[in-house]
Amino acid sequence: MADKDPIVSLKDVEVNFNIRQGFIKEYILRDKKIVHAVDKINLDIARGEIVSLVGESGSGKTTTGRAILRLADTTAGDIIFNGESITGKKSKAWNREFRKHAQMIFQDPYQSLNPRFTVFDIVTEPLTLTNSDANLAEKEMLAIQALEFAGLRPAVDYLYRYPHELSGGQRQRVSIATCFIMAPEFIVADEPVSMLDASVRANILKLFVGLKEEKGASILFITHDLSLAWLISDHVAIMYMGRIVEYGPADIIAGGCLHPYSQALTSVLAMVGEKRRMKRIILEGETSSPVNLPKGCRFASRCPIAQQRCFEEDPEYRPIGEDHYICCHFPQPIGQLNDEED
Amino acid sequence: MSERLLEVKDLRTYFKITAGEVKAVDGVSFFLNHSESIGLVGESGCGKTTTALSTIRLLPDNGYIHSGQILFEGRDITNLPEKELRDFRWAQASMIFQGAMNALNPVQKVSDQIVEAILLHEKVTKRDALERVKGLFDLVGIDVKRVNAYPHEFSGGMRQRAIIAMALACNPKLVIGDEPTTALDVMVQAQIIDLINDLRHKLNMSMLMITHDLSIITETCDRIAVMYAGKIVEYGKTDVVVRKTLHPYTDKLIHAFPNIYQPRVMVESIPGDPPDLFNPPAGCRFNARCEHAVKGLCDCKEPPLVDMGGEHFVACHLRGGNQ
Repeated sequence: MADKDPIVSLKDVEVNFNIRQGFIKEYILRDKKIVHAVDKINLDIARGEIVSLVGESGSGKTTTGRAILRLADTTAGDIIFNGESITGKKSKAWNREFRKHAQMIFQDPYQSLNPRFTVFDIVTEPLTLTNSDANLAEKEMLAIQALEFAGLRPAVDYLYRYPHELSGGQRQRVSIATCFIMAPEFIVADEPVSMLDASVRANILKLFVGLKEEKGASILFITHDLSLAWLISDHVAIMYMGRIVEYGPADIIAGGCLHPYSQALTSVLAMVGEKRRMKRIILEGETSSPVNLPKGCRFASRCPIAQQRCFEEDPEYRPIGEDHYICCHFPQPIGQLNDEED
Repeated sequence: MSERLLEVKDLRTYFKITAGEVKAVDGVSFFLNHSESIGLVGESGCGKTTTALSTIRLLPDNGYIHSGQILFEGRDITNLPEKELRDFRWAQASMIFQGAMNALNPVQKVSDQIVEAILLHEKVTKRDALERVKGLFDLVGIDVKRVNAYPHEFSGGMRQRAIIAMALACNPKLVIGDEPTTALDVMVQAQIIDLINDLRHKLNMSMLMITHDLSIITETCDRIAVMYAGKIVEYGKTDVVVRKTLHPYTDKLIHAFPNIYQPRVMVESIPGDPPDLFNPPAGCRFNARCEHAVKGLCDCKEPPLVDMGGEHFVACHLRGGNQ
């Protein structure tokens, strides 16, 4: 968070969802249940960097991404985009302008493409929606450029195909081309490779690195896969139950994590053909949904090193080193490297 | 008792489609010893699930075993009639299905679904069966008090545990795991892998694991069989295959996964697409995507699966066979 001019900056952002329980419970008994999907998050994304948001399902990583793109309403806090607060902005005109700068890539390439549209229709739809004054020939040119960048070559062969004629990897490339045709400065990519085979995954990942290096785009990469986060990002933020519990350079995944939860996550990673470097820390139970938040640290009940204070006092999100932030009372390495044990 | 629990010899499983036949599995041979585990790994569409389904004869209607032999404890089950198959499945060989969300009946109690499986195969009273379910719940780490719960009351990890309990209900000799950890979170995945390893030791269970994730196989399996386009291209002890890889495809597959303990280099994709199994290419099926392919050899002659010593088999003209 050393960067003075981040493209996106989240300040104490909260996103809550109401659980509908029916008229009587909600309005007469006043028993409202609220999911704290994102709870007081602080995060800066610098220009031209890839930040990975890592967490298990239900940790609030997708909601965070959607909140930045104004696809989910924030309950509290402020989101700054390009030096300007975008919290609560809603008008159509603003939206149209905003979408030229910020785009999203969705997880499932099988469901995010309209089956009745040709690739050309899909890729140029953003132009139509933002009232671009390009004529048909220009649109075709732009679509071809975008598709070629996304690795569908020769693009002319793909322009008038339908999604069902494409493989999963090709579909995700179409999604990326659709996002790229606006040349956005900021992209939220929500698990873009989780549906793809390992053998095609790499080329899609390279596109993201290309977007960053050649086009200077900033990317929020949402993933549950720590090794992918390590591979492509500059910084990682690990989320647990709506909170960022640890933020730091991507290298911390290879053994520099200090939050017990991040250490547990990294300790269970298995590398093909490598001996384990860390003792496996297997947490009991599963992440519960953040409905009734405990008083203290929300990880305390599963934490292997929790102490009395953890159950009483909510830890603050604080710097612990240069470029390294943590949300824990007692950050310490727990699964030491051990050479004797396999 | 013979040492081999399962032996598959030159299995060919084809699917009938309107345009002809898809050769999903085309000449696969492997064996599995008692209390051993083997992992089938490969990209989607390489035939790993079809191979597993063939071994318990659970193919969809348009699929059939064209030729080959499947021996279970020396008994040929390739042409077993459906009636006998019903006794064989679940009692001898059972399966852990992938989608914990979809494999359970949402309107029936989890315990009743397991009881049903037991009653179909054994002459026990319903009460005894329910007692056994409680034991199974305990074994897989679900609180016995939850015995009357419905699937929606379980979390994803618990549902996967319930499915494992169901697979173990009739004490099968072989358990087939079809991507048992794929849709789960990292930590739950680690818990399930631990559970599977634990059960394998406790129950002396033999296992056939299907997955596209190599790291899961290295954690759970003694042997590994790498499949490509309906054929096994490399086969051997997990350690040997992973550390002394012979086949170029296995090599590429391993390098498609990032390794956080090595310097950060971008992972490599395998160029091109897997071949069309409706009309498989001549010669080695990997030749079009292989950087070492030799013209006039790899694209003409099919490489046989040869033993390179120490039960490490490879099907490649360049890395195996007649140098």
